[in-house]
Amino acid sequence: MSAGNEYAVELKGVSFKRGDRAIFNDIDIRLPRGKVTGIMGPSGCGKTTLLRLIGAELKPSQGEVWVNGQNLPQLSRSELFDMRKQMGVLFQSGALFTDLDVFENVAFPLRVHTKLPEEMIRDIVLMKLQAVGLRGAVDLMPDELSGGMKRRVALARAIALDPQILIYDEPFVGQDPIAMGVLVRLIRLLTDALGITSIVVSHDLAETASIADYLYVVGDTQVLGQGTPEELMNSDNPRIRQFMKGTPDGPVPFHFPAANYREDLLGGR
Amino acid sequence: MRKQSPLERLRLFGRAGIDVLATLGRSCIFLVRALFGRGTSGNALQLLVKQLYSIGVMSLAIIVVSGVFIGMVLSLQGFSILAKYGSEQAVGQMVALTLLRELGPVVTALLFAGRAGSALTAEIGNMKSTEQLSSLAMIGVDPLKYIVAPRLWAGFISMPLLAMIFSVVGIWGGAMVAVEWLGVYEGSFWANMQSSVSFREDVLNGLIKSLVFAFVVTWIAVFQGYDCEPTSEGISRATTRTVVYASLAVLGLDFILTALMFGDF
Amino acid sequence: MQNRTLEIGVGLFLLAGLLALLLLALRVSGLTVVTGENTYRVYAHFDNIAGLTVRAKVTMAGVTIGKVTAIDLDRDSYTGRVTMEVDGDVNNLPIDSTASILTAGLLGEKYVGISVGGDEEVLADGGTIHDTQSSLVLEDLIGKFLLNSVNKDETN
Repeated sequence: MSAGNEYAVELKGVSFKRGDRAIFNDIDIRLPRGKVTGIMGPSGCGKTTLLRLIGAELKPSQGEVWVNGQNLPQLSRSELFDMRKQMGVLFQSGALFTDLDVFENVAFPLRVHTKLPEEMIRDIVLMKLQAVGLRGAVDLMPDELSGGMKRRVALARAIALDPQILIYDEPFVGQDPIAMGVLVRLIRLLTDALGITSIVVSHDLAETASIADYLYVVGDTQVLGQGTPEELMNSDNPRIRQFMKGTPDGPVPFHFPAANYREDLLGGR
Repeated sequence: MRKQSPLERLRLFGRAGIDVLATLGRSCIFLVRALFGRGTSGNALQLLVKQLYSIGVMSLAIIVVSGVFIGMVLSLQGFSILAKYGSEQAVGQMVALTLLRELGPVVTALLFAGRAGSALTAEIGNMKSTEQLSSLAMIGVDPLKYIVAPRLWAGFISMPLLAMIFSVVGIWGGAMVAVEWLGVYEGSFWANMQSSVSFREDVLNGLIKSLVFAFVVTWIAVFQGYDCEPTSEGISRATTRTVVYASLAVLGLDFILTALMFGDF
Repeated sequence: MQNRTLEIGVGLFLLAGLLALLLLALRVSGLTVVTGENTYRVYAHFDNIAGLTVRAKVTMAGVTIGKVTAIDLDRDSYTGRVTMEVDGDVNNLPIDSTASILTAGLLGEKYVGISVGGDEEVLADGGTIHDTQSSLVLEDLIGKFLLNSVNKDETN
């Protein structure tokens, strides 16, 4: 699809407001095809909002979101649902359907969008589960799985339709080191082997930097910086340095904006 | 704590009004989209059957048990009053009319709100908080069609049926108490009932009531789940709201419907 | 397998609901299947309809042959006009039949009783029964009784 276009996802001049509060102000982000791109930033900077903008769950107040050559805000509701078949999302909690077992969870997108015969669905599901190493768990229910396994099953489901774009929402949160290592390897593997465009939205610096080909640092309604992980590590921008090094006080203040401390204490009586 | 100027209070009042209107508007759009939007899921019938089971069949026990007891109590109370006027045979008529016109639809709707309504809200709220709804949308399945619509239809279908089962079981319970226990002559019990109950005026009007209640209760329950804040407190608050709003709506609507249907008597 | 039991459960539920409707229709409301709209309309003017309500029975020789469908005031004659739907099978009511408002038992409901006249001509759709007997009003009765006894005293 649109082979000449080297970017799978492009955000052009996107602004987003929630109530009166601006979450993004005129940001530009371009995600190269077939690469792992990390989008990072401190908590509460709107990373998940960004993800929902790309998935068109939210509409930007201004600007354009291009995915595979289509401008999302202009698509109708049904065109959107068609477009989303080319996209897989791995949610933070896995978001497995709790009333279906592992097999049916992975088979779900296939059943909805294809008219494949039952044996073929079975083969595909087992292949996808094999890819994430959980073929043995095929008959379990989601509540019998550990957090890391849930995420891997969800990954198998996300790749069931062979999407061109895979979005990971905070894939490393609350994972033990082994599960984390497994996921990092899987993301890299899937991107390289299948030519998928991966987007990792995360604030886990080390893991994201270790797999991302390119990084965006988002914060304070702006794109603070972008580049390869090495470039960002050596950046002179104080805000990026603070984030990359993890110092408590800097341009991002330790204190939430408040009235003068002394006045607040004395003024109360 | 801080002192507010009258103008500020007025602003907050206006804000609250706008919020209420916005919620109403959202819930209407939600309903229309769920019921009349373009269908995406092919196995709609299978989804409906599943929901009919978890909404209708699972509510059957509470409906039947409450129905029997309410019918028996009506019979006892009615008998003790009617006996003073020497017209015990009218107990059948009283039980049947009370159940068909009022208690059948209303109590079923209240029980339904407590049993199925709260479960619907909690279930959908939970799906929202675990991102299952987003996940569906991202797979390219409209959650309004896949999750919401079958539940709405199942509610619309189940409640009138439950209300009728409630009435029948209640009348049967009332007949048992009146005939077996209180010694009302069985023939006059049924004859009195049949001569005073009209199919169109009583049975069908009760059915219409219960259809309206089904619509409102299911709508409230599903919308509260869909619109809730996706946290544990958000879900529990939404569940409470479902039961409170649905019960109030049922009782209020019941008055209006009764006035419209039976008011000219 | 699990799907099967689920579907059977739903099937039973739907069946129970429909059965309930059927029971309510036949057993509780005594709906007869052939209610056919085969009825005709008869009017009767009463001086006093006190207590008669819409849907009350219309009987003849104790057999229900119709029901009251409307009650209103005739503005010209200041009488209560009762509209009755009479069963189409009973199409041989003589035109001089009498309609009276009766009470079932001492405190029971009011109904209309029709007693047969002797005329050759029969009531047609929209016909009017002229010979009527009004509802028994206790106050009038007591009044008459008192008046009678006063009159008797005077003649004595």
